[in-house]
Amino acid sequence: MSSHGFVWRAAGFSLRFRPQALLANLWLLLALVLAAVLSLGLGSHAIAPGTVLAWLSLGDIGWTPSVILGQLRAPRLALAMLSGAMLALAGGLTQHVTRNGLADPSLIGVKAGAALCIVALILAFPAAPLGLRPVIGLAGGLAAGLAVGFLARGTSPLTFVMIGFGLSWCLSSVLVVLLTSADIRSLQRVMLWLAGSLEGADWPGVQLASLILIVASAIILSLARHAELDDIGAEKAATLGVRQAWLRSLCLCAVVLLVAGAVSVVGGLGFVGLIAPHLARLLPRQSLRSRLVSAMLIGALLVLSADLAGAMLFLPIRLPVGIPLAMIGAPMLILLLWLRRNRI
Amino acid sequence: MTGNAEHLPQPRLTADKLSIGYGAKTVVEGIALQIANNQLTALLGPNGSGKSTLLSAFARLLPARHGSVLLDGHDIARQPTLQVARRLGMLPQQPPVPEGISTFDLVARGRFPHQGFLRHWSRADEAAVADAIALTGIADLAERPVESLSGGQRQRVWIAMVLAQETPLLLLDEPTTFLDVAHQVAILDLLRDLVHKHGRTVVCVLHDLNMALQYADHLVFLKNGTVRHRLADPALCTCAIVEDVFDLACVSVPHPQTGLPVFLPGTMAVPGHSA
Amino acid sequence: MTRAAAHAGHRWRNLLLCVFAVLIALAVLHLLQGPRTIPLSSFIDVIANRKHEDFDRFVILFLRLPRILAVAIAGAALGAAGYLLQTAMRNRLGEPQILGLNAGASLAVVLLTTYPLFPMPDMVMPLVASLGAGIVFGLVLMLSTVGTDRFDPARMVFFGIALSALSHAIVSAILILDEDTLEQLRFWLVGDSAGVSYAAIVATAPAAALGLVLACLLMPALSAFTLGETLATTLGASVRRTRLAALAVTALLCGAAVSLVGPIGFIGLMAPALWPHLHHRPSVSALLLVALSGAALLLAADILAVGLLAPIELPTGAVTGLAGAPVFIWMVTRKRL
Repeated sequence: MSSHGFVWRAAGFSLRFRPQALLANLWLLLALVLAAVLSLGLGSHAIAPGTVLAWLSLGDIGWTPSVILGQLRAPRLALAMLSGAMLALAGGLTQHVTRNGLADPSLIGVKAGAALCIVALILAFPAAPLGLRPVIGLAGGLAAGLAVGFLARGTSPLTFVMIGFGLSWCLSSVLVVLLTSADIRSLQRVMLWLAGSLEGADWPGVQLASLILIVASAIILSLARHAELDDIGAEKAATLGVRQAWLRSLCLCAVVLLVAGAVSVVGGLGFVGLIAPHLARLLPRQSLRSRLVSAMLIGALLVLSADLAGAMLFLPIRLPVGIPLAMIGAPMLILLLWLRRNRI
Repeated sequence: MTGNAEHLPQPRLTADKLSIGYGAKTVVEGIALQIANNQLTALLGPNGSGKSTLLSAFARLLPARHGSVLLDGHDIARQPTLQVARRLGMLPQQPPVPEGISTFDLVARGRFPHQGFLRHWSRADEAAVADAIALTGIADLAERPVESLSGGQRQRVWIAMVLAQETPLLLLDEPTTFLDVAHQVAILDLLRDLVHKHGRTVVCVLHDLNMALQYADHLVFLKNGTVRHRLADPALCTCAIVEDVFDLACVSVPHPQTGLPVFLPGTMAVPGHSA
Repeated sequence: MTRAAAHAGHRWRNLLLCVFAVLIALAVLHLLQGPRTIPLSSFIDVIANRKHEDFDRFVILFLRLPRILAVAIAGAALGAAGYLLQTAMRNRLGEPQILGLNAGASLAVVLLTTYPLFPMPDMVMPLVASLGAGIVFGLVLMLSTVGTDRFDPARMVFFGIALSALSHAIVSAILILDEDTLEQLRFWLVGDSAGVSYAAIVATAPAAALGLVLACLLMPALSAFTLGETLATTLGASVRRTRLAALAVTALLCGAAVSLVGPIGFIGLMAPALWPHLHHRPSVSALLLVALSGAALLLAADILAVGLLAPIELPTGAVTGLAGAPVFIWMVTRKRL
């Protein structure tokens, strides 16, 4: 059956590929690579694509460009792509499991919890090493996620999300209290971080983010086969052999890990987690697993292009990536909501 | 012909002094029930009598408060989820309709318990889905999105999905509710064929007493969370039983073709025809 | 008037008087409280108009009194707006902050402050804020009702939050690019009542008063809604027109409150929640009760904002958020949406 993909079978194994979905993801990957190479060359000091390619193939291109590329642009680029992928993956899974197209994980308390803890850290111990931020952020995000899970135990996914909103508001109020009692110097630093910024990108941050992304995506992609059944109802999924409680808690952990990790390395990036999964749904029909992969690629592409726009639009001022992202993301979100209005 | 459950070899599904409840409320209390193999068993009873709750407990969706459900002689709660799913399939009442998925893909999801990380789509999967689609007569709907189907078509798709699971035991919660009479008959014909031609064991909750009488091999009447009557032959159903279970005065007439009883409300006030 | 109706009327009057007394008590407490301790005798002097050139007099008349007035007006407007939304939408979670009205109003104010198209009198600001609130809320309504013809509370909350996030993003983009406006509006943006001038009160009070009067006029038509839309229509109420009018009035009330004290949330959620039986029969008395409770609640929040971490003053919006978000969570869990 051609419309059901190619199947490759051998001795008890059988693998199925849907060529359309595979092709869509390949195109996305290609676009991402092109955008990455392009954005490496652009900036206040333009570097020719040829030089970038030479650097990528480990050629000798001289000291200045190699420092700019290796120490400034490459980690920034990597972090942009990683955080986009992380948020998109978390968003896609949350939207699927809650069966709600508006459930952005960054709205449901995890982000607020992580942000609150990190801001408290920045304000209380300005000298604390950067590496401590993700740890504190993860702790805060996990605490908030568990609190929502506890308050919403035994209720519908919708109530879960609503309780998440409530907790977010509560935590953001605490954040405002912290911010107003802080002195103006540290306040500026916090504001910049809160707006979502890639300024502080460095290789340790990239390593941490990729570690989190690898662990969480391994969990999520291997669970996708089970989570996919959620859209026919928890009961029906259970009778097909899905262990719901176990699935839900693993999903929650993975989402918290992703969101808290992304927040702690780049601050508050909105809209990616909401838009990327919706865009992925516009692609040809595919399984949840490959749809999540598409969402990750789209998320990476989105943040990357937002960062590029922020760098190029108001030269020499570089906008924090959160701003152009919101500018691209918000109209896109409204358009998507409108296009898919009957399915949300 | 219908036999007596007690004389058959060991029943595969049994409730053993089973009690189930939500919160402080006990819905099903101390039920002991054996489901006859290779028969169509109908669970009947007034609203709130615990039919759906009992069915959910059989499918392991609700934990037993006391007693247990035995599947092939072992406590169902202690068996691995996937192994249960390979032997027992269930169709809940009105599952949500997924978006953006074709009928074929939905039916194929019934193969979940037989698939794995590196077993996406075996020949057995392909054959089972093809059989289920042929049996339910939905071949011409296979490529259509599920959300575009009518209520009767959807119900057949759901049943096809449970069939594709290839379980010897099938539980269905009100499979005919909200369908017009022709679709009800089509679904019940299908269920009867499954039992008699394909050797499956089917348990379903039914609302329509008369339909149940015409199709079921075995009747179980529930009231207030307990089994009130069990009939191994629908012909044995009497007005006394129906009045007892539903608190409804009724009369019965034999079906002109099958001879099985058909129940009608007893005292009908006919306007304009006072006695 | 029957005896039962007369009895009910008495009960309403007593209830309203009680809440009003609480409001006055809170206002007096607020007047007495502050970083500068002012002896009671100075108050009496000021009231009796005996001293003229005095710093205490300045603090009382030009710092504390306008603040109290502004807070009371904004609280009443927000409380009434919340109640109006909830009755018109038949949605207990209806609240200006949650449904995006506050965000729309602040976006409009920020836009107009940053890019003043023409020199405007102060009176225009509340109207512009109302317009912003109305536009964003209109979008929320449009998006959340397409495809269905009923008002699903959860969908409305989701779209309200999504569009609020959008407005906030635009606001922060404007503010990052324009430092002057950031300096000017930094505290106002999180809801702050300190430093309100009499001029601002004079500019917004008419809008708020107009909103309250119009809301009172709408109450009889809205009370038909409690029966359900179909029944209300058969009783002759024009559901659509009444609802649109209610939304316009809500936007006006929110615009007035936001342009005065900034986007302060959850008063519209908490004030009606204090009186759980009000939703069964909307009436003018019920609206007044909610407005008075809103004013009292916001005064109490403002007292806490000043006193909680003294000498640091918190933004009032942070205090209402801290108190209101748990109320929201409680309502959501209790209703099992």
